[in-house]
Amino acid sequence: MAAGAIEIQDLVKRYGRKTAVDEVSLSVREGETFGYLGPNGAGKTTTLRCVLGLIAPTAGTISVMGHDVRKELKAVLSLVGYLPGEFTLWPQLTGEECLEYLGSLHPRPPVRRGELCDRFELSKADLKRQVRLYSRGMKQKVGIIQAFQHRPPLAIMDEPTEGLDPLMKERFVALLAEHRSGGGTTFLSSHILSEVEETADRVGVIRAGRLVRVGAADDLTGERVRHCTVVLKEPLSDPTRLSLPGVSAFDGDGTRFRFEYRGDMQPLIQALATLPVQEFLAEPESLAEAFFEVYGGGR
Amino acid sequence: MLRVLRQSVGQVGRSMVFLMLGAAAFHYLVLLASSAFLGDAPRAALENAPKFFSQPPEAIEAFLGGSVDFFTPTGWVASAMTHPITLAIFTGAALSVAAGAVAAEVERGTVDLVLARPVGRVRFLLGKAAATATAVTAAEAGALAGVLLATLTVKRMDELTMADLWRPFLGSWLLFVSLGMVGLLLSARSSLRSRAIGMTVAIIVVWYFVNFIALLINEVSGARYASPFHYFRAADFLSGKPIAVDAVALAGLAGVALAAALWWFSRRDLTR
Repeated sequence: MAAGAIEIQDLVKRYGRKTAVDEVSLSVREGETFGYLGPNGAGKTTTLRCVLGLIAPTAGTISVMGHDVRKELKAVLSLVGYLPGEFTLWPQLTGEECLEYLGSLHPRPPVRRGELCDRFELSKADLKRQVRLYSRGMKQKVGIIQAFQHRPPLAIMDEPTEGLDPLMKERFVALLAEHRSGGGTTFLSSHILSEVEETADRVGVIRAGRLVRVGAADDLTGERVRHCTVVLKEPLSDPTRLSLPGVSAFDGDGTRFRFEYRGDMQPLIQALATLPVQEFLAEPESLAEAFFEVYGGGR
Repeated sequence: MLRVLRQSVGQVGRSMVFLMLGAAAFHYLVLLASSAFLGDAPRAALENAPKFFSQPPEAIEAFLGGSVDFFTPTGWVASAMTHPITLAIFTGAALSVAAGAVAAEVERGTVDLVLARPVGRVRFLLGKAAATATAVTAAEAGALAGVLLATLTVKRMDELTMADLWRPFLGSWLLFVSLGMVGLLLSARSSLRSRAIGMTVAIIVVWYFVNFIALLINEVSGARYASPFHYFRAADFLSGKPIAVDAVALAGLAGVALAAALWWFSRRDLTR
């Protein structure tokens, strides 16, 4: 993969005494979907808005596809499709007027509008209605369409599935996969962990303005705790045979043992091979669990 | 810029039509009423008119912009153009786009959608400024249509021609465009529509009050130069007195306010 669809270097954004983003450096590679994860107020939206030039960084540099955001903002924005968080439209305009207006402001023609309207089930009758009469989900569909209608090389999405029903969420995930397979890059911010888990190649976790972890989404979960269950054909006389490095929260009743295992699975598999195992289950923790572990808070 | 202008005008299109019709109807009504009251009166009757009409109280004169003439079509038009209801209509037209232009879009979040496209903040704001000028033009055109209708249908109003009328309407247009640009400046700095509109209205009321007090009290008469309302004296504009300085002062205010709005808007963070 080529490097550098988005390069953020030492980004700092302060509002008075409050530091919203503190020394964040990250790189989103071309063609990947990067999930930017964190609770509300962590600094996700501020980072995204800095990338789009909507707010000026206090310090640091940002480049998008080789263009410096501060110096070449127009070149940057001509490559971007953006869906803001808490998405709103002009209430007195119709959905069609909103899409036309937003399409007319972009140098790339809105070649996908019709197809996306069909995909997200926005009928002509829906598009002729004023936006003030739309449900939350319908507005969000218009938001997704306006972001993708001109086939942008880079999609920047802030909480993109808010308000969508499960079917539309599924279609959005498919749209992102299609975008990626076509070589498009996505920078997706969310506090909905399943959304990021399902779509992202890599994940960055931001906490109180600081980037605390970046890694492949699989690594973030796979290298962490697995919830293991072992069922034996006969009682284990010496449970300490399962007391391996990396095992914790051990609990058992002679034939059925539950524990958490952290690290390389090989030693565990070797130990189990010496036992009369009837059943073995190892469930990787979800991104949600990894996330809460990083955050150190309870659910 | 044209797309932003068209979209901004489209958003207030219906209210602009109402303001236009209101301005036309109100001007026609004032001229019709003035004519019905004094238009047919013999000259002797006018000369013996009550002192209130021949020499109105200073407060009334100040309230209507510095001069009151109940006896001529020029005076009637000047009264219509400086009447508080006219000021309210034109201020409404100017602020309908200007004061909420940026603040409303920031508050709603729609500014993100526009400025995340390669539009540029300067072009966006110039589009809003052009929309403000368009709204004022529409209201002024309505008022002018009302006056022109009166020249055709109201007694003695045929003494005025378009050659007499363009000057006061130019002055009024400049005044309200400059007030609109001040609204645009406050809007460009704010993220709350109500705050932007409230502050703009407050400033306009203060300027009107300063002009009123300066006209009423000789000791503070110099303060009138600090109010844009001083630079639009409808009677002077109608009577053919030189208006270049006034026009330049109003255009200057509009230009400075727009330049300041562009400066602020280009540098501010767009946060709700």
